[in-house]
Amino acid sequence: MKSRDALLFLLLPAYSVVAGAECWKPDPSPSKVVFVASQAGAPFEGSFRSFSGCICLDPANPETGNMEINIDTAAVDTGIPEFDDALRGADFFDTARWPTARFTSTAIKSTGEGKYSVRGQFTLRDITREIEVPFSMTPAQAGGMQISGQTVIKRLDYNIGLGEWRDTRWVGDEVTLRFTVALTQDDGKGVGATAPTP
Amino acid sequence: MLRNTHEYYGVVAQSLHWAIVGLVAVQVVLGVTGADLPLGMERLITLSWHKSLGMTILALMAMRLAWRLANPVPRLPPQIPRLEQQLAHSTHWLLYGLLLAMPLAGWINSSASNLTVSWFGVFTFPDLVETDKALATGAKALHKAMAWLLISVVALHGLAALRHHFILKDSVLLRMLPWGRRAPGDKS
Repeated sequence: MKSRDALLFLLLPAYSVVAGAECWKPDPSPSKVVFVASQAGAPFEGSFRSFSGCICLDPANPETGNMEINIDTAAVDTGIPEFDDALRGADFFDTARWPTARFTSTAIKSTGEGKYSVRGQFTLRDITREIEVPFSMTPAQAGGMQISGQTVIKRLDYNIGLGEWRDTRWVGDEVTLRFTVALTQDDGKGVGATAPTP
Repeated sequence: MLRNTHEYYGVVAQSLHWAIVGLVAVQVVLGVTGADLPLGMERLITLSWHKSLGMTILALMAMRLAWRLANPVPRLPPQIPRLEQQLAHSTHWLLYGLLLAMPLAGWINSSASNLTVSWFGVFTFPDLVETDKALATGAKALHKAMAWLLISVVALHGLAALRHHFILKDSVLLRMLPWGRRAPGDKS
């Protein structure tokens, strides 16, 4: 195999369109990718303003689908610049070294009408773990599709919060990831989404 | 005994008064310490205690206000000049106002800072406002300004009570002390 062909072969899975599956990309403005952590027993919410991805799903054959989501960790937004800076720092996301959190699906199954569950590899910092995320994907009123769901991860599984922040009595280990994302038909040119800065 | 009379504060009013004195003293220490800490676990812990105790003070002050309105207020000794009586009453209402407004300003600051207030991790209070950095900064400045005003008014209040007890030798301080009822030297 020529080296150019090898390169194409490597790129193929990410952009392949499985027969019957439609591919979608996030539409930034109406979408929300949120995390809910906890401090002193109270919820602490933030979001990521920039993310991209590609979701290919045939409702008739969800197991043939695949998805990849990339979240720009430096786009973390808690509304308070001091917290955002801390979260971008070395003790949390360390965005200088690991600017992207990535989810890559390994299996999608149907769990009901418009409801699915996806297993996949989730990478935060330099740690990858398998997670399962239930989600729904339904036609949106404004056209396109809407995907929403949530899952709970443990931040220490990914070394989010080093040093004194490892103490889970004041900063809880469990973090809920929640998303409601508007999808538009993928034009096949690669995908990207950056929400306007509020 | 529980209720106030025209001569003495009852057990409820006295308990609320002294509990709030103790809590406010702790709050000053936690608040002054916490305000200067860099973002970190120590600040989180210090200010979480500060918030839980502050919300406790707010609840106690609400009870205290209701109790005050539902009870007679012990009369001041008649020999106290009218101007001083008015000053005493103004001081008392200023203390009520500050002790209610300060936790509210702190609560607004916390809500606007995207930090929902929890009561010792047992339950959480609703956020009063949306996250808003400018509002948080304003509420915090107001909270701090009221803190210094409170410390000044408490000093005036405490010194006045000591003056009544040791210089004027009247019953004004004794009315707020558990053993005051049986104390000798009551000239009122």
